[in-house]
Amino acid sequence: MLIRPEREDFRIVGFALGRIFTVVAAASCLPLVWAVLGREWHPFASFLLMIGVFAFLGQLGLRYRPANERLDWSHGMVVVALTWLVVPAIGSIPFIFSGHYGGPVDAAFDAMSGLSTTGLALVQDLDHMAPSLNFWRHLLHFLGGQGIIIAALVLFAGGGGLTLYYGEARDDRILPSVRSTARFIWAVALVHLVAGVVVLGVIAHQVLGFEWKRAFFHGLMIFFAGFDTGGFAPQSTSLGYYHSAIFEFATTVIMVAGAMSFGLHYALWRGPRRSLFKNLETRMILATVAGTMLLTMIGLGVAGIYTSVPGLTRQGFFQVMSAHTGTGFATVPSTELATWGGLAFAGIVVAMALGGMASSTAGGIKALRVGLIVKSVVAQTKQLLLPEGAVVSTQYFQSGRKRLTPELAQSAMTIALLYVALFLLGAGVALGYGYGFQEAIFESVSAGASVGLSVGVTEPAMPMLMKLTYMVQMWAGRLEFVAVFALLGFIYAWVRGK
Amino acid sequence: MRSRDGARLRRWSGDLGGAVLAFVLEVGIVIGLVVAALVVAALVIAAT
Repeated sequence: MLIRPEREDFRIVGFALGRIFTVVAAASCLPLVWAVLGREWHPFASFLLMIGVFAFLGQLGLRYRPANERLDWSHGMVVVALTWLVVPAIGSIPFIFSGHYGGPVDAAFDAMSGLSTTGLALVQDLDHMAPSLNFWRHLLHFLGGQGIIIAALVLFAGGGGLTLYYGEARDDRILPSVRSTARFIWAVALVHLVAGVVVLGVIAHQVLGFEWKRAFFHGLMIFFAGFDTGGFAPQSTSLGYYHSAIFEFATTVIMVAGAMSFGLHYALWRGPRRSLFKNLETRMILATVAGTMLLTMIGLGVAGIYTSVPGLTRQGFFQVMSAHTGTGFATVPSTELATWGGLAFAGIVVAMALGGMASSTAGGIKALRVGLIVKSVVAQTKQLLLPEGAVVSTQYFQSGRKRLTPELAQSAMTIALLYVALFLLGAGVALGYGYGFQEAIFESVSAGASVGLSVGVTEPAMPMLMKLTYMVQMWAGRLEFVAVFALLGFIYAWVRGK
Repeated sequence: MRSRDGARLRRWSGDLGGAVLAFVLEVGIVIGLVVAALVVAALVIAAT
């Protein structure tokens, strides 16, 4: 029997949401300042409206303080799922009034895509968008990739902060307290921000010939989208706009840093550094990157799409890295990507589905789960071959040596299966509208694994149901299902519970 | 007070060293992957 949530439950959820919306309102002042500096008064007014709504909702939640502020597991999950629904809805206000979107759904699609670090876009005439609006699009990547809730935890971690942390699809707590872990995650991001923007800005100025202001603007935007494995770009031709191998190389380094788990960043910063090479995820992701790159390049070679070694290396390598890290930058147009049939198509789709490391900014099934599933299959095969009654104990290394329990293996397999179901859902809807199998599966995996590479299906003219399906995929895929199911259960208990 | 500041300074300098090492390693990983991709591409082009 389900227990109907009481008024106190709503107060607890509302109060936590109030804190988070207040933090988001504060963060939303950044594009407002940008608009003032750039004298962009039209976006300024829409940013003001958005901040007002966030601040109003924040104060509304804080007004009804619960008797006990401590979040239990279900409260935390509901808070996370609602945050990731409401923030894109309100965050789309500046897009709605920008004139760059076909309607509120298109604007909300881009806001959800930005926050979930997917990178699929329905924006029109991006090349003439006001810089402050472009900044907001990319800042959504940064907020979503780092975790809005992580930001709130840095400022005021109350009781039950751990459930919020896990709800945002992070698996390992790096430091003893959630607050110190959240601070470390932001420290890593800020150090990379400074280094990444300087490197990209200098390359844009010295190699591409951009003037300094424009060079650092592009550096900042590409950093936000690269480190947070988002995929938005300030220009409609994505990274192909720059036509620069060195710029693509620097961006790949940033994408790799973003797809690395914060646990590994911690090991690199504070030791033990040898754990990097013992880590199951490191080994797994190097193997899957090598495998998908081999598959893609053989496919491209056989199809004769690129006939020179530098051309094949540059396009194949970058697209695989962009897909595997879950970023979604492209150096080839979507129409050209759509011609990558056969093995190359399979290589990119598998890379997108597998994704980066757990507790990183990347999406997808994640290397840790793939590693656990592989180890579990090997252990079960060994068990079959050994005499009856023999016990096979399997261990793996991730922030220390751990035992692979049947529960852990089952959990990894369940999440992987849910991802497959999510990919099939989006593909099924697209197939229903008459899209080809290849493009339907490509775009669906891209949306569900928070990647953002496109073969041209995602466009303003696509059917409304597909836009909504992709939005649900982006939301559920980013949160790795648990928080979404908790919200659905909470609503069901509210309606049918006793 | 002074020893606490010293400990903080040591931690910060340790973090800075770790961050530099992390950057070097990230660049190294990508260089390694580029070299691997070049070898694969050369083999694929030669074979096709």
